[in-house]
Amino acid sequence: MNRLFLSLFCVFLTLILIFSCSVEPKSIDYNLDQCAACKMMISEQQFGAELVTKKGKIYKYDAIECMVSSFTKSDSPDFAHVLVTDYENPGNFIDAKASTYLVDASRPSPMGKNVSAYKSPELLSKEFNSIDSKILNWDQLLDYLNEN
Amino acid sequence: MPRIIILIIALLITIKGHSSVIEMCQSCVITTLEDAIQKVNKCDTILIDGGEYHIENVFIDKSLTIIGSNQATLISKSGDELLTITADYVTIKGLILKNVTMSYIKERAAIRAVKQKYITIENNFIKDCFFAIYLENSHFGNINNNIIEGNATTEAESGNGIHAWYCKNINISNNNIKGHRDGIYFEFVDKSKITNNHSELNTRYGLHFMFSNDDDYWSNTFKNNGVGVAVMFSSRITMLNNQFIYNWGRASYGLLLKEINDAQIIGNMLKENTIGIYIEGSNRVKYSNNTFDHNGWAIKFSGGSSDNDFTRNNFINNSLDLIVNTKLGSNILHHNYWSNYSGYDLDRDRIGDVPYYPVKLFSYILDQAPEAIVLMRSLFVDLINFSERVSPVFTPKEVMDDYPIMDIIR
Repeated sequence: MNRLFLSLFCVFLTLILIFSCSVEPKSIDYNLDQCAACKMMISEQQFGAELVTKKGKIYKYDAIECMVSSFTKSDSPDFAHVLVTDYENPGNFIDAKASTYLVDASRPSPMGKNVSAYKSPELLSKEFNSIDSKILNWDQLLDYLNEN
Repeated sequence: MPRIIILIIALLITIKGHSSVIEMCQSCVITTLEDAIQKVNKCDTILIDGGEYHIENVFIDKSLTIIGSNQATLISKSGDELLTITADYVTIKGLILKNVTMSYIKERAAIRAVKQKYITIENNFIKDCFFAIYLENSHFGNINNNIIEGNATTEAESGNGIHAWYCKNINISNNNIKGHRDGIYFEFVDKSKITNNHSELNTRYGLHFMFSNDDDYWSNTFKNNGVGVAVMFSSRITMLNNQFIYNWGRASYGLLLKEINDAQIIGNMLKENTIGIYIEGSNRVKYSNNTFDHNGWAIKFSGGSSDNDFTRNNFINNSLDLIVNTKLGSNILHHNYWSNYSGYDLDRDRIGDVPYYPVKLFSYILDQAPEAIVLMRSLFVDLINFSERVSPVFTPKEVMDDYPIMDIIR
């Protein structure tokens, strides 16, 4: 009996150890969390972003431009999750590398670069077709923010 | 002949100088604001006498004055914007504005000015609106004596009280702002003044500067906001005689400075904040005659800052006076009053004879491992602080005040 209990306990402990180190994104506590790059309080729910390292450390950002600056600065960009918020679906993360980005002054972002992210970009090209607005993919966004 | 010319000029002046007052109320000839604006000429005044008016985004496209009296109230029908100013020299006074609701698509505001000059917004009461006053590319504006009350909570998205974007020479004074995201928000705003305002219970910042230069803020009170004031990526900001009170929480500061240069921070009172001032990447900033009273940390000084000057400040009853991540470098620290100073003054010149070391070993440990805060005020902490004072090993030796003042500086 005692032996069974002990073995069960060991299994339980192993399970805890496995699951407690999960590499999962965590949602942002708006108006309580601080941006890891610019120290601003994260409060605009259309622009939050997050990086999760392969070891499970979570970095939260108030804007896509802040997240990208950390992303490009890190020596080994081995992140388990690179996440941005869907502008049309505030408070919900989407995969940054599969998203479409808009740079347009009519949608100002917290750090002044006017970048917003979209899961479904079908309507964007119709709505924002002026010379000043840009529609970019992830790699183009990295180049754009690097130059500006 | 000259007489006729004079007569014509006199006639022109009287025509030009004449402006009329149109009255609008619920029993008047004119009962809607749209109608009133259409009927008036340039420089006329619309007097709204009492009543509630449900309107849908009215454009003010003439230079005119709108004055409300007897609780004249404008209420948004669908939650969209109330007044959009698209003319110079517009004055809006004494109105009550309500019911502009939150939207993710558009930053809706009770009063918005777009690319105009000399706008005056005075004595209004703006209640429960997403953004209250929104200035866009508008210069030489005056925003005085308004009461702005939002209903922001930490969970929901909310807008700013007074929001200025790409503006110059704005004057904001004597406003009372509560319950918004940022009380006052400046982005790309230059040469502007913020005086005697009271900003309270805003979810993010009492006052927020981004990329703004040559601005002054004097004699304001920032109380119980997420963070009192954040000054970021700005140059030549003067901060005089403000009060930063009770900004308390896990990411809370009285004053947050990030990448700012050539600022003056003089005569401010920082009381009961988690961190009085957090400084990162700031150069050539002068701090003097400030009082740090009952804060968790008085000053947290992060890397990448040089040529800052801390003289004649009061550090009274703070849990920790100073945290310096790196070496002090070219920053100067002297002639301050420290209530934790336990030195002596044998020559009676009111300056302590032994230097004061504001960085304690415990604050150094806390900076490395914030969880150690549970040990605060324990005997163990007193012991390690004492042993470190006797023979400093970890704490930076050059971070010291050579001339600690013995009395509180008035």
